[in-house]
Amino acid sequence: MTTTPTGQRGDQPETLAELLDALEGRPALSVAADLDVDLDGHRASVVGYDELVALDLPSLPAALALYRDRPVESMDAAALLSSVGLTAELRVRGVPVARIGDEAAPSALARALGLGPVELVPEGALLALTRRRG
Amino acid sequence: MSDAPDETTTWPELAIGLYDRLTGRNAEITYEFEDMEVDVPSTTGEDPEYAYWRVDGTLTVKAREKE
Repeated sequence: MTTTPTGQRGDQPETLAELLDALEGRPALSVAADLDVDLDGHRASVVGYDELVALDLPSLPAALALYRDRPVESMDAAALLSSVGLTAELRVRGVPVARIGDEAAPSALARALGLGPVELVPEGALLALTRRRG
Repeated sequence: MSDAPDETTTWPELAIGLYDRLTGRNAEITYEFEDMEVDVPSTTGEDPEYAYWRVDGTLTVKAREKE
C-alpha cells in the first residue's frame, strides 16, 4: 500500500475524481456524532451511528430547501460517501425519507425526478407530510 | 512554524489531508464544537456565496476495515 504524505504539494488531489482515486482501496470511516446544527436558518440534528450518519430536519420544506442549496452535487456526494463506506440518511422529525452513499439503493423514482443516486423512502415522505409536529 | 502544512486551496485537498491524519496514524479524532459559527463558501473561486452554519456538539471519526 502506498501512502500520500500529508502536507506535500504536487501530488495532492485537486478534483473529486482525483480524490476518489486517492481513496481507492483505503480503509472506510466510522462516525459517531451528536450535533445540533443550524444550516442557513434550518435547525437540525446530526447523529452518527458508525456507518450511518443521520441528518434530522424539522420539516419536509426545510429538507427540500437544503437539497436545493446543497454545496455538492448528489452524484459527487454519493461517490465520496461510498468511497469511505458511509451512508447519509435524511430524516424529517425522526422519519427516514432518503438515503445516499454506501448502503443506499438508488430509486428509479429519484432518478426520474433528477435527484441522482438517492434512495427515496416514499412512505417516510408521506409520514413526514402528514404527521403532526409534536 | 516549519512543519505547518501548506495552504489548502481545494475541498479534495482538505478532505485527503484529514483522511491521511486519521488513517495514517490509525487515529481517532474527536471534535467538540461549542456554538461554532462558520460561513461556508460555495466555491474556492472568486466571489463565492456563503452559507451560515452553526454547529454545537461532538463528532468522532475513525478508520475501520471495509466489510
